[in-house]
Amino acid sequence: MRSLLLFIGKYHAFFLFLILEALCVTIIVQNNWFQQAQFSQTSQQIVGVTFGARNWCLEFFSLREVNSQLAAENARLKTIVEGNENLSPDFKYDATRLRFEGLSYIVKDTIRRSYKSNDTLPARDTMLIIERRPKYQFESARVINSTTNHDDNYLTINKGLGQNIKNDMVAISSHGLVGLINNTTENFATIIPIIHSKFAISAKVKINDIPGTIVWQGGDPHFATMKFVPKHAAAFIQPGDTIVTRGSLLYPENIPIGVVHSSKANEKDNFASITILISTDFTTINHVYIMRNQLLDEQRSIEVKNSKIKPR
Amino acid sequence: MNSRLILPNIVRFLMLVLCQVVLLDQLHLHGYINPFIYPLFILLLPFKTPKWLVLTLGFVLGLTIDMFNYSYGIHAAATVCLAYFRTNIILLFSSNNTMSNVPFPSLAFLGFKFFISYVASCILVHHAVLFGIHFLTSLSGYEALRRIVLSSLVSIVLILLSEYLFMSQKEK
Repeated sequence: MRSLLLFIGKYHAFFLFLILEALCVTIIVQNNWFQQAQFSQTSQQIVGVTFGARNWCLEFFSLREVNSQLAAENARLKTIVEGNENLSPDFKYDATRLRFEGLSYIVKDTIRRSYKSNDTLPARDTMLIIERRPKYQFESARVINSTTNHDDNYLTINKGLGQNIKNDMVAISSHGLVGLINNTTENFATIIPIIHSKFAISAKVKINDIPGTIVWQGGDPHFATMKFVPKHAAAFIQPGDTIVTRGSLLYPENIPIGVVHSSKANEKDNFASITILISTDFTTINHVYIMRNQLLDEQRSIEVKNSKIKPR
Repeated sequence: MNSRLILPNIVRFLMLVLCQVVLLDQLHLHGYINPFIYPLFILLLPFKTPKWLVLTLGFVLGLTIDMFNYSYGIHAAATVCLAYFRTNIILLFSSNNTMSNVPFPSLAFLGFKFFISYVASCILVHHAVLFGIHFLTSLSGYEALRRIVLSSLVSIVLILLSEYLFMSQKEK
């Protein structure tokens, strides 16, 4: 026993080295150790405050560029609003309370909150009053840190739980999809962007609905790959075609992801891979919009019931 | 380690971490070269620092960088490795009297030849482990080698430059 202790004492550095390296390997393999650790909240706060301070300094240098981007975004939104004016005159003045007077309007992505039956209205009148609120609420946020040269890149934004930002919310930029919120603290949140090795999303070609899965295989942050495209359909995809989201529990449909750059068929199996140019430029990104899906919990609660059904 | 050496080292720790995460991590030289200056903290620890302390400091430093990079343990593994082999590298390049005369490694007192071989070997160890782990998880062998060589070169140059920059007038 004594000699064992002496042995350990003599080579204590080596043993400590082994223990620490083993600890590191555990952290690397577990991958979410940081989130589980006791100090995770504190460390995220420190990281957020540091990057926030840096961003505060750097912001002044990019004001001009941000300004023009926001102006362009404004112009785009104004066009949409002006276009809707002809469609429904009431929409312009009272967005939450739409009157349907014998006409039916298609208002995309809205929730029917309450439906008043005709007890308050004359029975022969066809007028219905439907209160509506948008299915998605948007929250704008500033990107205070982002990486593009790793295999697993992350974005940090300056809003968090305090602003009602939660995990699994979708982040978009004025150009297209950014990613998914994966971690939040009181004042900050991190986003897993498209350029993360574990990011995958089902997508489609906008004009002809050809499906595929977007993944990023490292390297250039401007390009991603659309995998699992049926080989027979690949011939119909032209460079320049827009790729959009296909829609799933978390992602709404038709958010632009990128445009087709080039395609190549894989000899080994029945699928083709397509290189796409990502719409969002992650090297210069500084503003994002977080989409808050008002119906997410409701949809989840019904879908979870299916997983509980046991086969007889 | 006496108390006169503790404060400068704490300041150095904070400055190097800040410099790394605020400045260098934002550099995208050709997209692939990312220089690391923070190992300089381990390199400049006094010769007589107990080995367990060097290892622990290496672990803490690496984890701090990981925290900012969201890289979960990779930098910690590389820095602990560097901390362990530091003594061997010093013994490899130094003559017997260097360590007794000089409290900590410095360009001014130990000469350019010792310092550059010391820095270069340590940085190579660190970068090799760092990109070696990347190689195991995602990078191809060629890509990993290329990054080790290119990033090491830039890191070594940066570390030497910073040493010249902070050398006091008297030492020059």
